[in-house]
Amino acid sequence: MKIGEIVRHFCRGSILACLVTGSFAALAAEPQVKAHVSATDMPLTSSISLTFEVVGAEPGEPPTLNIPDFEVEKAGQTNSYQWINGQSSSLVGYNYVLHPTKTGVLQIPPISIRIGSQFYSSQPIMVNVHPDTGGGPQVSSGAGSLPSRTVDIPSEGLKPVFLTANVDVSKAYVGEQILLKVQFLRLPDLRAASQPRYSEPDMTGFLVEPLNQQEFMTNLNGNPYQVTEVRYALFPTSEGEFAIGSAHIELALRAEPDPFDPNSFFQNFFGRTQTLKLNTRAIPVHVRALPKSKPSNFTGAVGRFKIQDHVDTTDLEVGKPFNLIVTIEGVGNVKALQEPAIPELNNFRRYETISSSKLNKDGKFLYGSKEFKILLIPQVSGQVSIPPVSFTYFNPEQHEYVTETAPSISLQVKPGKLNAGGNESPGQSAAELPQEGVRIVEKTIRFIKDGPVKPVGPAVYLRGTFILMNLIPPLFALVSLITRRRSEIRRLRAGEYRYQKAYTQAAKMLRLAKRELNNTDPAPLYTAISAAVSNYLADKFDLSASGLIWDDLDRRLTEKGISAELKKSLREILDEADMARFATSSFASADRQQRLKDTIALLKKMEEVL
Amino acid sequence: MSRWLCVGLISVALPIGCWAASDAGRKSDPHDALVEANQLFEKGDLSRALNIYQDLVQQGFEGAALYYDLGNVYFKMGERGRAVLWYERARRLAPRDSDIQFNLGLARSHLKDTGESPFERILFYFTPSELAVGASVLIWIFFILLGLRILGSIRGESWPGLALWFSGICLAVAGAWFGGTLYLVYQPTGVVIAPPGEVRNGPGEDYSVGFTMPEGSEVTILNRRPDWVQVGVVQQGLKGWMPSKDLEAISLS
Repeated sequence: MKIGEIVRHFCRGSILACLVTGSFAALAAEPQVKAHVSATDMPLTSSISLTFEVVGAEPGEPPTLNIPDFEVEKAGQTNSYQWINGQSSSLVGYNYVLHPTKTGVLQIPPISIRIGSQFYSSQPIMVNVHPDTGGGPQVSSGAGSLPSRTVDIPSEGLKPVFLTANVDVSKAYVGEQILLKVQFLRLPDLRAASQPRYSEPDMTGFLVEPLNQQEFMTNLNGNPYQVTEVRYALFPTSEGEFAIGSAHIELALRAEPDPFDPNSFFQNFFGRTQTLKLNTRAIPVHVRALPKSKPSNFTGAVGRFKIQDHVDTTDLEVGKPFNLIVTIEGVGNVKALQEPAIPELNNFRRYETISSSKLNKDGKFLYGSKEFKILLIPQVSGQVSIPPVSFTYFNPEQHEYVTETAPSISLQVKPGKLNAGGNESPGQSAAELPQEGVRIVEKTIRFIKDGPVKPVGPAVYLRGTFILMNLIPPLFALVSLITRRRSEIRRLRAGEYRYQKAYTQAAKMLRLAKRELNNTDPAPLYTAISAAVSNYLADKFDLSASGLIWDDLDRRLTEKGISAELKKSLREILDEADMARFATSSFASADRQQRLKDTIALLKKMEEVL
Repeated sequence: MSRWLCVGLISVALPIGCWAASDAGRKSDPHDALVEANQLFEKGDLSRALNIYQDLVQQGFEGAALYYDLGNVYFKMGERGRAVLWYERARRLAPRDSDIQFNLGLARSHLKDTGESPFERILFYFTPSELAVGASVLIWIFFILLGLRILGSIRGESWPGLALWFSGICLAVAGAWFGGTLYLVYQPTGVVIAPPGEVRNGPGEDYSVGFTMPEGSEVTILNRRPDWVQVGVVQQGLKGWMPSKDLEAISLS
């Protein structure tokens, strides 16, 4: 025997001794049984895997299952050893696939197994089976069309272990969800020497939201496979051609022992492991741009959503804050939803919005709700309203933009105290209070008013009286101008004017003289007659009446062709007038009347010549 | 001189007396109807309030308050075009009324361009009647002083002489102002009262739409045909035809 073989046998013997010692220790411990399922909440059309494990003992027979609400399908048995605190123990697992037969909260009763002379039982398990809604309450189309527990056979054929990846759609809009499923399938009795190391695919160009991992059993060509499914909700960020990279998994498998090899026992523990590296193929995805006819309030949401709003209290008071809660719920990238456009709230002071998301990652689609809490402080009392809040999203199934509107909220606000700053502490001094001016709460039309109402009539400036009234001043100015002109003419051509007006003036004076006929005193009459004749002659010859001399007058009259008889009569009238002013008693009343007539006749005759 | 003064005074007093007497004779009191309509408005019964306001207008009554209230009713009913129309009519009766100006501005707030220049705002600061009365006073002052000056009663650089110059300048300004205002008032202007405000390239539905005007826009009325009106937008140099029912002239006459 070679030295090497001796050493090897020694080592094996030492290890065997240790294992035997350990086995005794393990045997000395109480066996443990437990049962667990891959999911406790499931749709009716799916199935779950049930594993019943026995630790620390080798049961002689598998357990007998009696589960009334499920159809039970055996999925193989696994045997392994585990090291706990330096001691090894056996682990036998019995795998089953359960198909529910009804909905509701169903119980998997305790499963019993005989080990030696004793029976051991697991704890009951409650499973909630609900009607199949296709992955979420908001999703209907497409969700229920795929049997969720059916796995396609890979193109390269069945292998004991393989890794696949697929997407639900190969074309999608920007922001539309793409479900990426990476499935790791292995035969149930495959024994892994270590935990697999999984590397996610390259998902550049997508917002990634991992969904809950699924564990279930499936059957491929009559072979049961245990499936671990990792799901991702992918949301393309831009249009174009993209590719989801390869996912990788690396695992070490324990090789099956050769029953004819005398060292097979040891081979289970040393060296007979096989390392596998599995890859998925890259998946091309075509991402389409959203239609260009985007509404003004569209903020990028893609999916199907509903909007609701409410306030957290109805006991409202001026100055007392409350929350307006706007909730958007639906299918899509809920976390990325932006705050919907809140209309201008005139009667409230608004503060920053706090948002929070609730996501459900169990289904095929990422769905959930995002809540926007807007802190408001009423500024006015009475009946006020919060206008409708609208939210627009793109529905990829209908290929159109959809606007959902939450109804208006009517609120009754009680009067209260409104601090200057709206929310400062009451202990602030007056000097610390922020200054505030007039604040426009609502800009609307001013109220109706009362006023005079009168019949429609022509405008003031179209009325005849107004026009006539305004003609008077210009006429006055015009008359003034004419008068002024005439006055100037009279001043510039005084001699001519006297000549022309001589007879008129003389006649006027004689009419005045006629009033003196009844006067007992003849002097005024003869004075008037003398003045009339003297002024007439002075005006005709452009002389001064007081400076008339008979000789000069006689010459001028002769030159003008006045007859001697007329000159004689003129002289007699003038002389008599002079005499009458000094010897009044010698002139009878009849003589005065005759003298006046003679004077008038004389002047008429002279006017004809002059 | 005193004789001319007497004639002047009588000439002034007589027409004013006749005018006042004739105005008083025609006066009636529809004020109760206005108050009733306002009460209905306050109760929110806009349709009945509108009926009363419109009845008053159809009966031949006018008033800045009446037109203003009509504008308010239409504004509350969401008819911005008609609201602008009646506010504009109210403003022409009471151009310095701040309430009318405010509501008119609010009713026009959706318009990019109100179509009113600063020059027009100045011209419309007074009504034509106010300008006419003002010009009338200036006519009297100026021409009386001018007549007296001609007659020689006013000489040199005394205060009446300066008053003559001052009143003459004021009269020239007032006359130009009055003329400009009259030009704008009698320029046929309309307001688009139908929301589409489609202006076509010809008087008929078969013609294509050349441009659109938002409700409440003011346009110049250039020509009228049965059911169609030719309008112009001076600022943009645009012309087109609108259905008559989509447009209403500001002037009620």
